[in-house]
Amino acid sequence: MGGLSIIAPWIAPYGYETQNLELKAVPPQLSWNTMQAVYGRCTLEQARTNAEQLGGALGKIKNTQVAAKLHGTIDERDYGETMWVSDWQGAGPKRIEISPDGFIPLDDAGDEATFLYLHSRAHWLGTDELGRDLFTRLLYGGRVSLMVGLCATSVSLTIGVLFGAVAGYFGGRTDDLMMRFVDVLYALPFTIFVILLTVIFERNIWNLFLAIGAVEWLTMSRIVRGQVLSLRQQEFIEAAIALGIPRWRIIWRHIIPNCLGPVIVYTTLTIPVVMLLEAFLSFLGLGVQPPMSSWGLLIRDGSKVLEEFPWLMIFPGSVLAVTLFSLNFLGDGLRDALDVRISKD
Amino acid sequence: MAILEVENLKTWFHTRDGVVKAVDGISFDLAPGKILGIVGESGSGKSVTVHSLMGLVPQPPGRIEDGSAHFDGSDLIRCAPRELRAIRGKRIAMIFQDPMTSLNPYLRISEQLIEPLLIHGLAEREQALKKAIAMLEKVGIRDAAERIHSYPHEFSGGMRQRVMIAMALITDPEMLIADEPTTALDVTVQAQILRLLKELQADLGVSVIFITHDLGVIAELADRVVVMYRGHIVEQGDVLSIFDHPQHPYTKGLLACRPRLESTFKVLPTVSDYLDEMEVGGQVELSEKPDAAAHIESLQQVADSEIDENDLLLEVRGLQVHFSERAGFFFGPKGLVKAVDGISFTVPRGSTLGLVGESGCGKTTTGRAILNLVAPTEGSVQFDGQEIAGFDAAAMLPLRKRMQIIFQDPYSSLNPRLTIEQALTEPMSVHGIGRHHAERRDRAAALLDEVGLDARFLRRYPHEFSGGQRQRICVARALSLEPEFILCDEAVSAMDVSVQAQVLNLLKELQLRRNLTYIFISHDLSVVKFMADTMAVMEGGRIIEQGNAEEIYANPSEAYTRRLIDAIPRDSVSFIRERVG
Repeated sequence: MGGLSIIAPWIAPYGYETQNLELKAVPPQLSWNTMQAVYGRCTLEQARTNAEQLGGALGKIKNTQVAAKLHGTIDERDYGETMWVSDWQGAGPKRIEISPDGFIPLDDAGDEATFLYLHSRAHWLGTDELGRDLFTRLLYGGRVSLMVGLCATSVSLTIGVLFGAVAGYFGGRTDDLMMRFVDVLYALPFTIFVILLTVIFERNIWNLFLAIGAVEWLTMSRIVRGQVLSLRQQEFIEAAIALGIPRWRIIWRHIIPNCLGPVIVYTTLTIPVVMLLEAFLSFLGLGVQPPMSSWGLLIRDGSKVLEEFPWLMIFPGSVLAVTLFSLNFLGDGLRDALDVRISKD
Repeated sequence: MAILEVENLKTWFHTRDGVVKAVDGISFDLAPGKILGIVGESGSGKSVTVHSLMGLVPQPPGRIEDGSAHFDGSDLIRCAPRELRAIRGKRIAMIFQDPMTSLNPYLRISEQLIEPLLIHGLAEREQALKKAIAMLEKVGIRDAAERIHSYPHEFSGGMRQRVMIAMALITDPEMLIADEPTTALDVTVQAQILRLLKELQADLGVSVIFITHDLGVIAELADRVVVMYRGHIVEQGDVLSIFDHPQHPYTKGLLACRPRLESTFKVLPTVSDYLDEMEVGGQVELSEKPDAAAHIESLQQVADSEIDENDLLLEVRGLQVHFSERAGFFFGPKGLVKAVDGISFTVPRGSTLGLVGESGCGKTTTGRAILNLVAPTEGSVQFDGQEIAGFDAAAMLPLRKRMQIIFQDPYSSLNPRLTIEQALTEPMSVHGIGRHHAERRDRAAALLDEVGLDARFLRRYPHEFSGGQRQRICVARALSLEPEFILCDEAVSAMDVSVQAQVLNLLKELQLRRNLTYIFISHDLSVVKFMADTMAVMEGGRIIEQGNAEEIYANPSEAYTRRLIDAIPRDSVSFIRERVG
């Protein structure tokens, strides 16, 4: 089960992301000392601690314009300026000066006062053209992509395995009919098929999962059918029939568990395909809508500006790659764990 | 001067669970122009021995720890891979067990035959083809010039093995290694192949190492015999002395456990009747059981049960099974294969009917049709007075309890993903036997006990068992529904003779205890003779001879039956004496 530990680092930042839901537009650059102003009412001591916790503080603001968007970012050029702010408790605008230690008493010095402090809002992975933090978008995109990957794949897995097992088990004319049906679906241009599905049904993300799953099961059913055809020859299936075991039970207990190996491997291969498919559909306006993102979309956007802003391509790309790598390991681990012949002795 | 001298060969496998000493210090010689037989059961190390000689042992986990094998001045164990490659296939050739899988199905026979000649630079293409055709004729393939361009699937199993032999001999090797070349074949085909090998060996003067688990085959063929057990050679000598005065208890057991046409055993002796294994300080010591001779004597005395000829459990009349070769979805049937073409027989309760014939004679299809696993085209099958031909799954359900089947291949007849407990209790729960799971599990444990296995095995998976143990599990599974009738479809054909004897004894014992009725399907007449009361000989979908088993053996009226009987390897001392001269 080495697979799980490999995706653990991926699981951890995922939980982290919910606190970071601030899709504020910031300048499109990979700038490590950009700061964000935050202010609140607290004691001097608290303000100092806050400022430290949030990554230090900066000097004065030069540009008063910045004051208008307090939650925006301020950089060195703004030092020494004064700015107008309105605090979050609804008090009127006040003139403040941004000092190098990052906080300025706005009222008289007292036990409690309103301070302005600046905290570092470094963009670990940079921001995109619209000034959105790539890291945040990656984490959010991950939710969509993984969801698409898992949901659509499980839809395709369920339909594919059942369809393939039934076709392979019953064989003969049933098999012919079912497989010709698969051929017909193969022949349909799948985009049109998905567009149709999303048009007929309400356009939301769940229907998108279903639509992709409904297209991707074809190959799975073919693989399973092939497996079942060879399993069907095995004598334990015949023995099961001779023992009077009902057909559905034979399929469920004797056939499906025995074709899990290839199924799992193919499943881990389907996940990336599905993720990229989702990106394509989103591009057509059928999938995820901006400002929401997904890994597929990020990669697509990043690839357009690869020369100017390579990080927009590199980071989503490597995250996807690492995830798929982990999924493959997970698949291998699962297959071994499920294989009674390898486990314990 | 021996052509091959093997000395103190040790091949060990270093697995995660420890060292398996597959071959542990064996020495033997092969004289030029002679046939050396290596006998032993699966796992005795006989295959590993020759694989070591040919450099075919997978390393790791295998490792040749010690020993030498001198072949014409070069040590096969130590020489460089390049040197070995020059010897292998050219001067030492090999034939494998399964002719179905040892030919490449995508290449024409001609390509595969001339490949060794081309690789070793022995001939140009034209010449090589000529030689290949000549070789095919030599191994008894008619119209060789035409058939050489066929693909492997166009040949039957026996023919493929002939092609394999031709392929091995085409480079005029000095030594031929045959690794169980007839085990996967019918007895009749086996007899032909053995005769062919014998002729070719005399003709070409090649030295042969012949590996088998069956001493009967050795008796037909070999000049010298090496008996292997657990990686050691327990006995070696010339063929006559081994058969005439076996020294080691294991050899005695192996000789006795083979069902013979002339023997009158009701229970077969097994190796364990002779052999005592004691573990002393990590070493297994083999010794003869003191009371072996008396015990074997007593086996002859076991009485048969009485059979009422008029109490018929199964009555088959005019059974036909036809398969249509379908051309495609939209087209009608293309041709008709009459697998079973109108056969009739009866089986009294508590008796055994032996159904014999070569592969493809329809005996398996007959069995399947009786159990409604394939739909009979015509005819009637009456089970205990009830007409069951053409029943659908629902109608068959109550009868499934009463009619069971045991298959040939114990490896594919158990679902690898179910524990033994699951495999045994599933049919019970489907048929509502036992009130709850605990009760079913107890019954499963009792069944394992009945077939001679430990109840601890319930939690294990099939892959943890040997072939013989698996077949016992299959028997237990068939018994789990308490049937009256069991169809044994080549139930022991895939087994070593020593294991075969145990399973046959088990089946006989169960028959007596539970008054079971068997149909015993086999291509091996000696096994059928041991098991069956009445016998039916099938050829081409029809029964050509049937009646009392003993009488048919004594006086076969059909030439075909005669041929089947003659095909059984003869291993009497007098025969060997005559053969060796």
